[in-house]
Amino acid sequence: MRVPLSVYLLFLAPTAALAFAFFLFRPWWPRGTHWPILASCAVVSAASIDLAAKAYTGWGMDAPLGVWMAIGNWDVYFGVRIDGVGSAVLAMVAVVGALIHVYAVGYMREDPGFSRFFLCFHLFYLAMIGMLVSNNFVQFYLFWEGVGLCSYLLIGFWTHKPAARGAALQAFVVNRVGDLAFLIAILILLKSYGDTRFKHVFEQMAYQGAPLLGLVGLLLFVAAASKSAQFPLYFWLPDAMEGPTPVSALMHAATMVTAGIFLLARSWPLISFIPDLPWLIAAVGAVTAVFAGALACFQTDLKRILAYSTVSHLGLMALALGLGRVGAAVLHLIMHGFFKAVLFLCAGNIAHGLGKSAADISEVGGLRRSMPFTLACFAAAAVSLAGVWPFAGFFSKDGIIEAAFDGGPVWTAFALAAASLGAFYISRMLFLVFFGPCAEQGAGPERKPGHPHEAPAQMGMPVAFLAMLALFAGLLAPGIGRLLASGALPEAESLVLAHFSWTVFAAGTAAAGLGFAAAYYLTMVRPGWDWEWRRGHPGLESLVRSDLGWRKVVSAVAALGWRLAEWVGGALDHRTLDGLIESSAPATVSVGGALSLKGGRLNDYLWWILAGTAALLGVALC
Amino acid sequence: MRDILAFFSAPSLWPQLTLGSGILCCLAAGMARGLEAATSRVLGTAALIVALWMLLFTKLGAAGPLVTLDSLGLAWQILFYAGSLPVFLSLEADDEVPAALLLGAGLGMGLMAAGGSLLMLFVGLELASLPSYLLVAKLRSPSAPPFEAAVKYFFAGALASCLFALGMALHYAASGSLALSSAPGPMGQAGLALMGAAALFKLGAVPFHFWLPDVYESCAPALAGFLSTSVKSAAVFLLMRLASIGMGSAMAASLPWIGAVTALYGALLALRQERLQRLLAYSSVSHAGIIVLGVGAWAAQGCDRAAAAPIFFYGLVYLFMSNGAFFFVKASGLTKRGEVGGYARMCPVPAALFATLLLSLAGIPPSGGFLAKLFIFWEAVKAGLYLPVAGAALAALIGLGYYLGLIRDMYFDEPVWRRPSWEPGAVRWVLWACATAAAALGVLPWVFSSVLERIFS
Amino acid sequence: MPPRLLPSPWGREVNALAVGLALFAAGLAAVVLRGQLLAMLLGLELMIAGVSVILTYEAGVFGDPAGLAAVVLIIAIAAAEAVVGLCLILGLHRAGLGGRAGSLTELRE
Repeated sequence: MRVPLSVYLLFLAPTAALAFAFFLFRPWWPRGTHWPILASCAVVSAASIDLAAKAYTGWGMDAPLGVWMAIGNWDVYFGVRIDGVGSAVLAMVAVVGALIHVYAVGYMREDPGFSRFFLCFHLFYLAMIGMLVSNNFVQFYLFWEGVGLCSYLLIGFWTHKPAARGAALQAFVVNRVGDLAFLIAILILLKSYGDTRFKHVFEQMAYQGAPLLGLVGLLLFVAAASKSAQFPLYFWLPDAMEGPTPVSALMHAATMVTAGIFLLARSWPLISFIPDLPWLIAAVGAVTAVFAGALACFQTDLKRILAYSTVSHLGLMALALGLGRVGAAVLHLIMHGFFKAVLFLCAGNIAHGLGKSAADISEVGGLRRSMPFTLACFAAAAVSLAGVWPFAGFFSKDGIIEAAFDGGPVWTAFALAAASLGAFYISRMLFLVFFGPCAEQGAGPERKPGHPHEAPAQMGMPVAFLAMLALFAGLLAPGIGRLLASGALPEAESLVLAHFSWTVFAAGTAAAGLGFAAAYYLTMVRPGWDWEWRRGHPGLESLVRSDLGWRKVVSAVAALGWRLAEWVGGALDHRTLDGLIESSAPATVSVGGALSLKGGRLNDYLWWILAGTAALLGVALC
Repeated sequence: MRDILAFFSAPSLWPQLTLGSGILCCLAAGMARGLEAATSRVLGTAALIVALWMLLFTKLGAAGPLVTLDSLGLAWQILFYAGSLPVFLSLEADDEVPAALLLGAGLGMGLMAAGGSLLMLFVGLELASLPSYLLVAKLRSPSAPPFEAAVKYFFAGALASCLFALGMALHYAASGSLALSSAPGPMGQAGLALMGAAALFKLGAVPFHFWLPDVYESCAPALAGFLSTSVKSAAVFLLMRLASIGMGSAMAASLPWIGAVTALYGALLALRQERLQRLLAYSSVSHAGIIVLGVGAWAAQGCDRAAAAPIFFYGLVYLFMSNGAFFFVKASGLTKRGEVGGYARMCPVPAALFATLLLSLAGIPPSGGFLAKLFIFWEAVKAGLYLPVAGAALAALIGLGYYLGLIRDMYFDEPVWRRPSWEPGAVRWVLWACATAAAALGVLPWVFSSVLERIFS
Repeated sequence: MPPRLLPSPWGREVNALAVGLALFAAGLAAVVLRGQLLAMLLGLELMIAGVSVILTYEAGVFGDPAGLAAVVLIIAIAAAEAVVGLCLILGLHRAGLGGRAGSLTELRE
């Protein structure tokens, strides 16, 4: 079977671009590092759209591309799997990624780390693409690790900011928990089936279930939960907003955080095989969606609102997945990528216009006059997020709400609550930022007189393009549905998209409308509500700031864990601002001291040789 | 022409004979006057390269009762000769005798590899050890007591060789021949244990390792690199031969435990070291432990020739990592851990090379060292040796302490070394080659896969 | 297997293996217990002697000339080893570090 050129281009283009950029551009023309990278983005986008088009016609492939190594009994092949789900997400990632690369050129223009940024950013792009087309768990894991590494490099990109370094390390450590779970799951699969190719595992699973299959599924879920910020392990995501805006837009909205959901979608045959695991996933997703949505309503930093919103939407995706609707989850993954990227980029534009790296709600207001273009894009993405027909977000949210309806009243309540909260927080953000009193005349506690202005065209064009997608991708929804169903692994009926139903439509729109109205009331009719309760109830505010106490729990658990590790191992000592583990605890060193031979006398050496020989003789003769 | 090729490719000692003539040439050159300073380097490197080339054409088989070349021996000769190449680049003028000694050591290792009898193993072992005792005393670094280290090495090594001889004699008494086959009865087991002790000594396993830090610390860094790679590979090979003779024996069963203890011991002691060469010595002990674990796992699974590939891969990656690390010490002139601080700011490229090597030694993906460790651990898990693997993994974790600690000192500490030195010339190329290879083997192992396939099938 | 007995000057036959092992043990004791480097060197030679005795006798028992050849080689190697050892000890003397093993304590933890 002929492997299309596009598959090779997916890997060759970014690798070549990175090589060029690193070896040629970075030493001699750092300001031009983005040129090979943008070219590679274009090639990859074209290739991925081509593959999606091919997959739409029913084509698919799952084959090894080449031998990575064959040493003794170890045969590891580099394999590629192109099917409906993979190619759909691939197309979204490639296109959104390319547009954000273009945006980043303008955003990072003045930054001294310009070329380093693009190298890390494109490396992430490559790792993500590699992950999406892997055909076995080991390869998937390798690229997953690569994505995590790039996340660390990019969140902590501004190394002079201690907050950024801390956030990068926190993200890395939390992801490590998931990575460890993933690794153990892979090892179990290797021991049970010998081969971690998706096709192979799912076939063998039907014939000879491994005894530890439930554990594998659970571990895969833990890995997905840590990467995709589900309830217990979500707290790294809001803090990861310390990175530059393009990073937040690409990684923490559209792509990296969806890796966990994608893993679950890929492993769906295994997960659905295990009783009760889908229920667990749905439960965690529902709780995450509502919890994060609620928290998003009270945040003040623009990017943090969007971060909590992302967590909430990831919860919705998990909910849909857990209820058995893989198609709905993947569709929401794709649509969410579009509108969330727009929202982040607009937030970035606002901050950029103010000349800062992040913006708080208290510093902005009434920007509709000075930044109309941003208003338009933001509004477009906002209505899409709220799930208003006929925009893109509606189709995906509709699918999830319908899945919840079919699941039962409890799920429905959660889904509708999440939808309503979604509409609330995004409308609140819309009103507070763009409408309402202008910054100079505001009623908030601290007001900085900024001079917001529109971003230059280079940063505006990608946003506009993405906004168009956020609005009109709904037209593509049926096409995407057909695409998802093609070339699928078994359980194709889970990939079917929802059928339209008036009840669901009404419920969804009502929830959105409720949220919108509440936001309008609390921001426009009663302005200052946002700050009044903060000033009046500082205890409440600190409670919200610590995520309703969850962050305190996390730090307590982390502290306990660290003390336990020190007691048990006595050797590992974490330095949070450094990113490298240094094991210099006195216990280990003194153990070494007790074991070492002082004096350096030759006769002692000889005695030890005799002793060792005698021991070996004793073992041999007994 | 065809006849000449046939003659050359018969399974025989042609690589070893090449080295022998290289020795003669070096000694002859040493007696002549007015030669270039680079003569010893050129002669030695040429002899090694010709020997390596001859290996390509060597057919496997037996030639008489003493010489048997099989795939294992062929593969390990690659490690021996390739591992000796870097040290030649550090030779200076009037160093013909050390060059001859190095070639002699290589010859000994080659004889061991082609040996089909215990006697050949012994001869090869001795021939490899005696020059290294002299070399430790001869090629010296500016501020260390070389003779003391050489004397300690000599006596400990000679004791081990005598133990090997006794083991050989007992084996002979039990089985009636010196061929590589198992000997029955308690005397045979005792013989095997004694020979195994000698092999473990050469490898630097606990508790036979005490000579190792002293020797590595006080000899020239390039020579330490040679000792830690070629000589260690020779010891591994010897251990593997012994393990395949005594497959079900208690000695083979105790190897994984010895390996785990060695790995842990080396790691724990390396944490305390202030002097860089001594730190690298203990890290070398730790790596030896992991290799012994690998040999133990190999023995537990039946000593299948094709399954020796993971151990070979480890030897190959270790060759690059260790040589590179020692060459960095030589080139940069750093001797103490305290002097490493801030090195990256003054010499960014050398620091990056050293960091790559350290990452590979620590076994952090995607370096070659990670893959090598992964293979060994996987083989051990397959053989059911869970506890030793846990011990070795713990040792690897402790190893992160000093490896990453060095990287951290280089990159994040304030500079303390006032005059950064960076030796130009051949040493720099060796360092680049080693660092690149250590990294590349992790990312592109297929480059060597085809070679390994050919060798081990 | 024929008994490993040798005629001895005391009129009673002794076990050849025991003789060899006794020589080896004597050499071992010399190496490990003595402080003078030259004495340790002698101990090494004693050990080789013990091994040679064992090998020679066993070669006779099995009628295998390969064992005798091995003995010759081992003796040659032992000689080379002695040369190297002497060379190192002389060098140590010249470096002013004396001839006792106990004085070699500069290299240590």
